[in-house]
Amino acid sequence: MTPILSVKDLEVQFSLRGRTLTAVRGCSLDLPRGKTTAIVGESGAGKSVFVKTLLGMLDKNGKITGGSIEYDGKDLTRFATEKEWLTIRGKRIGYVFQDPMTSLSPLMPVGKQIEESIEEHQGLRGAEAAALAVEILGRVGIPQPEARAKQYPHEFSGGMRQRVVIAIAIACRPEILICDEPTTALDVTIQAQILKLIRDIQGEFGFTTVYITHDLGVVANVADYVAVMYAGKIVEYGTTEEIFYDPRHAYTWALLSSLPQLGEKGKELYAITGSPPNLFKEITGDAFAPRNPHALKVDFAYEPPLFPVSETHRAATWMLDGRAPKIDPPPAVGQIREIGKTPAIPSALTPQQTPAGKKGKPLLSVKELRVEFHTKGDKHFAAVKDVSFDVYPGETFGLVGESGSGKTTIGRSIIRLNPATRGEIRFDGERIDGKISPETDRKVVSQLQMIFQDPMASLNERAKIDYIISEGLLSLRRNMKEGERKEIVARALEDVGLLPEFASRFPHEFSGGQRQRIGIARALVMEPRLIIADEPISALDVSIRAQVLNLLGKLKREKGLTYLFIAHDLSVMRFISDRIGVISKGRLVELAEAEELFRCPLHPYTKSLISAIPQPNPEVEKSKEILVYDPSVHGTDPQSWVEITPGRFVRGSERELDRYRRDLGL
Amino acid sequence: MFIYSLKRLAQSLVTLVIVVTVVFLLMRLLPVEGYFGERFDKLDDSQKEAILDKYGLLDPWYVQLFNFYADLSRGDLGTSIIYRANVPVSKIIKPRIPYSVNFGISATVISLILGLGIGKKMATHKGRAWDRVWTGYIILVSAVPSTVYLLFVQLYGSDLLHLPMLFDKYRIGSWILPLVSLSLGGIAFNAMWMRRYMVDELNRDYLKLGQAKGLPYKKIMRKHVMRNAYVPLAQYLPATLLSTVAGSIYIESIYSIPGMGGLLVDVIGRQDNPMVQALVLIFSSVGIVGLFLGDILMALIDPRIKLNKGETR
Amino acid sequence: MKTYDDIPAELFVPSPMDRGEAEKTGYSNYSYWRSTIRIFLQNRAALFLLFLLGILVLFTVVQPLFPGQRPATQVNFDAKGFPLRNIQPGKEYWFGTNAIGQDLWSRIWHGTRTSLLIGLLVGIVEMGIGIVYGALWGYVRRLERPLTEVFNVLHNIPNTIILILMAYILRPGFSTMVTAMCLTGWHGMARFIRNQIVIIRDREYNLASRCLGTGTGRIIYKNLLPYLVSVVMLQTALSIPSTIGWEVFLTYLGLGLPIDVPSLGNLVNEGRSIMMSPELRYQLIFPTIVLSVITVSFYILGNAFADASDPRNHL
Repeated sequence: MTPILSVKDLEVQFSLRGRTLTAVRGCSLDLPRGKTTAIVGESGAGKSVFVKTLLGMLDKNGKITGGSIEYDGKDLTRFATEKEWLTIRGKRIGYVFQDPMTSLSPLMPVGKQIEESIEEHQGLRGAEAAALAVEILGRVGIPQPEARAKQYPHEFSGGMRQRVVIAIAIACRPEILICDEPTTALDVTIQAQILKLIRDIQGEFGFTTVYITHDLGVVANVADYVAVMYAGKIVEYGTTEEIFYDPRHAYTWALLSSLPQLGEKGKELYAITGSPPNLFKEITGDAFAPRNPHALKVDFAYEPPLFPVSETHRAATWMLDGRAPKIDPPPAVGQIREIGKTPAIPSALTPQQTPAGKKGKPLLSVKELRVEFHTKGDKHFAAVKDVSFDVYPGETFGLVGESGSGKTTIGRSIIRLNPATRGEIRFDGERIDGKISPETDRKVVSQLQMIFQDPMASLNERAKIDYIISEGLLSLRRNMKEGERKEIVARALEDVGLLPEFASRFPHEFSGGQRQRIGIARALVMEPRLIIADEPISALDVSIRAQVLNLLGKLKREKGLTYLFIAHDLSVMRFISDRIGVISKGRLVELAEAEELFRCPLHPYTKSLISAIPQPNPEVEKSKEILVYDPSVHGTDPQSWVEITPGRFVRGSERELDRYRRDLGL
Repeated sequence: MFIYSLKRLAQSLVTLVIVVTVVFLLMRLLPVEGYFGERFDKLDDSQKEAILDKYGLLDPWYVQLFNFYADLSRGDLGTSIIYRANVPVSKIIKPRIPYSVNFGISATVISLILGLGIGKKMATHKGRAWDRVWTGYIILVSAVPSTVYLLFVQLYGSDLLHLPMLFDKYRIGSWILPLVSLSLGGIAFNAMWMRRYMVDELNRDYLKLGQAKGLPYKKIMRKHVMRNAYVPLAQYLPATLLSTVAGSIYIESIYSIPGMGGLLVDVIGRQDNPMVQALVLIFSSVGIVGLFLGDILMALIDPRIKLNKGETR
Repeated sequence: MKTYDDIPAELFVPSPMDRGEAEKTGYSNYSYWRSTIRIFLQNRAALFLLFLLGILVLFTVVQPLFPGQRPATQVNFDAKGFPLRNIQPGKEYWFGTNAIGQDLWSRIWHGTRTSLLIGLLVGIVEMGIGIVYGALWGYVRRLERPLTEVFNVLHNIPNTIILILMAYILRPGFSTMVTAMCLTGWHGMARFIRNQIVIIRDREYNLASRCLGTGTGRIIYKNLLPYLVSVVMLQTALSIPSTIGWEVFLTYLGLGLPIDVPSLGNLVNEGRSIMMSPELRYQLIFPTIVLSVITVSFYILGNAFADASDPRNHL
């Protein structure tokens, strides 16, 4: 089959203040007609730059320094004028951007923004164009498209805005649709809907689709072919089955093995050490070699070519050379096929180690917590309503919910960043909400600590690591000796796997994963008993996440820590948590032991959340059913929060609770 | 929107009342010479007392304040004492308004058209000759005090271009230098902000979407970038318009234009307290009204303001 | 396809992994202040102006110590006892003399000294008030409302009017001038600082500090102010040219310093009054040149530093 578009040896460079960054280092890729090709890689891998060249949309300081892009008998790299590009952009290749919140023009009604494209390319005018715009809006699943077309972008939610962006991209029925991380900024349930929408319209219009993502679950969902990119190069290419079930490059192995879905509870995840390379520097050999435990000496000296594995499958690794020793992939890679099929993930914990075996007095107890915010105009907005749960010593309690569900507010309210409006919070039996005595305050400050989401924002850029780590000690133990402080800092750095001499450096010298570990060290010096971890890995690159998860696990075992783990990612939650509370619109809807929750979710919201998790297993993911949660199923009956079986809670009306009991076989 | 306007209006009114009251009370701190003019030395104490009594200046301050507001509500701004003795301030000011308004409006229009045009081209030609030359101009106009460079405009404008040095309402040529002087600062201001906002807008994601949609660059500029860049500028428009309309104190004075701004310089020199008070009040109310109208204009142009006021995001 | 047979076969053996190397892959040696200084030093024009301004300021301070300088307020007479009025610039009087026979050269440097002193004084006071007000306004939520209201009232009145009113009521003089300008100038600084703080106050590192029990004072001092250095420097640098401008303006209105105190405002005003006679224009032009060099230099330097200290320019 002839490809619709063919890229050969593409090289793209950027000049930044006199230095040259090679973002794409010789990539070749064919797009099979009518199929979906996913390009998967971490941030900085060059995947976004790569597809932007297809539309001639590089930033001004970037240029194509080599290779060709063949499309429709022309070489796009030779396009010099805007006029030439306008024959392609929007008309033959459509583009869906990552962040729907910023990609629409704020002062123009959304209908008009679609019309613009139609008028430009299809020669329709006025009412005709408007009618077509409304039709397309309806097609992408926007209810009441006629009325909505007159509204401005700020009147739409994130998911709806992304539908509008898709509508603009497909308005002129392009041949190729490029989706650049189209669901990264969205919640899982919305993500599932958007992915389905793109798949549906692809089937209907017969687009060739290019998908850029860092999420292997999304790849498994959408892709026919996959290109794995690392440090500006495509290191492996093949059909989705080949990449997931028979990967050959060590980087692909590493990506797949570090998936939390393949983890075993209580054991370490497979983790890639280090971080992706700096592309300002000249790279010799295989860029992944320094992080590759299977690296050969040749990997450091010569750049591997793409070796063919099958008709469709190629990988750039010397392991495929005849002279190389045979190296087996890590065992976890062989288990990809099992993801999403087995009801429970394996556990290395004995029943005594599970939380059920060691309850007793809760370390943290939250009762009927309500948190309100003042908005302008003296209105109150309740972010958290009547939330109650207990956290027992030594367990990891997970709080899962989508953006805006109030999960972060709960965490911040426990650590007293946001005051509770009603209800009570007890730590180790003592009330810690409202006004508390200075002694309790000191106790809470030291024993209750927090790890933050964004490692780029959570460290003070203008302070040295030394100050950052010992900041808490400065106010807690004012008369501490300088030598003792230094010793504590050094020990904390070692605890999180960093070198003690890092203390005299500034945060910006470190990568995201290293910075997150510094943030953990900062909490550790306080010798806390409970750590609230607010989305600690969601801002990290895929290859870094496992490092941080492993560190958290190690600290829990060694120091007997208790975690309140807040996240939106259910697969991570399932791996790390002992018990999980599901929160929706400020209310807990279900709380159960982790495996119990996955085995038999009761509440329809939990069910929809679990069904929406992208599973990095094409067999499962391609055929999965998505359950959409419609809050109106609850009717008008009063809802209550009930312990339905010992240790298992759910929210529902009397009728619903009866049904849940039947579901549990009671 | 309506509620927002009402709130904003109430806020402006409160500010206005505070300002008027404070100005009025401050003026009471002044020595009383300003109420007598040249007669001061010739009068004896009882005569002085009689005059002060006549002006109500011997009453307790709250009575004076009350009377002042009562007069104000009838449109009475007080009476000049020295500048033109015993003539109501409003009568003195009235014939001067057309000059200030004419100059103000023309200068605003000129500086808008030129400033926005220049700023736009600076943004699209960032780093090139056009941008550099006008950046130089902006630096000069912003850094060197206008009181200084405007003297040179007047000096060399009349010297080299043989334009009249002073304003004369019957000579069209005499309008040119004051107009140029009034516009120079505005052009620099508008160009500078237009360039800044445009550059901001040029980095936004929606521009990339427009490009990916296949819109020509010029169209993206006209229909999206410019429109969005005008919004923050609109906020300052009424304030600049009104303040130039009220008259430029310095320019009216150096060209002897019989407007309100020049009048303030005169009455300061002659220490006519009621006149200074009245003019200071006029100028500060104009500032407050300008900012109020700016906020309302913003709300009219930008659909986000109506709804988002109540939200945290 | 290219062959790779020439690669020695002995390279195809496992290579032991070096953890340190792996950690290093993402390492950068970026430093905020180093980058700021590097970018500032790349700006040739700013460097030149910094040098020029340095010499100028130094000169105004040491000028009276040079031999043969005449006091700025001394009226000079010729041998016959007549005052040397309006002498053209020449060997004896480098910048000429003014209408009553004072040496313009000495007056300009004395005037520059006075005006820079006012500028610096006002700049520092504005900085102090602005930082305190802005920091409290931006960071202490309880104070947000009242401080906003106070700011709105002050900000709504044109600065010109406040200045005129203050100078009118308090009677002209050095301290009146400084007080009046300090009263009007600080809000710009306060607002910039407040806006900046609002942007960074809810960043996670500030929340982290609160979780660690760090007090408000230290959060402002350690977490917020270091991020504001560039804003503060820029605003202070810009307040000097604007102070000089206001001084000239107030002097024009007759509300400036007493005429016998040489200042740039008084010099420009004296020059203005005689600018109609072309042969006397040097009395306007010389002070203007010095004034413009100073104001333009401060303006450009402030902006150059602000640009250099913006992390977005540090790539």
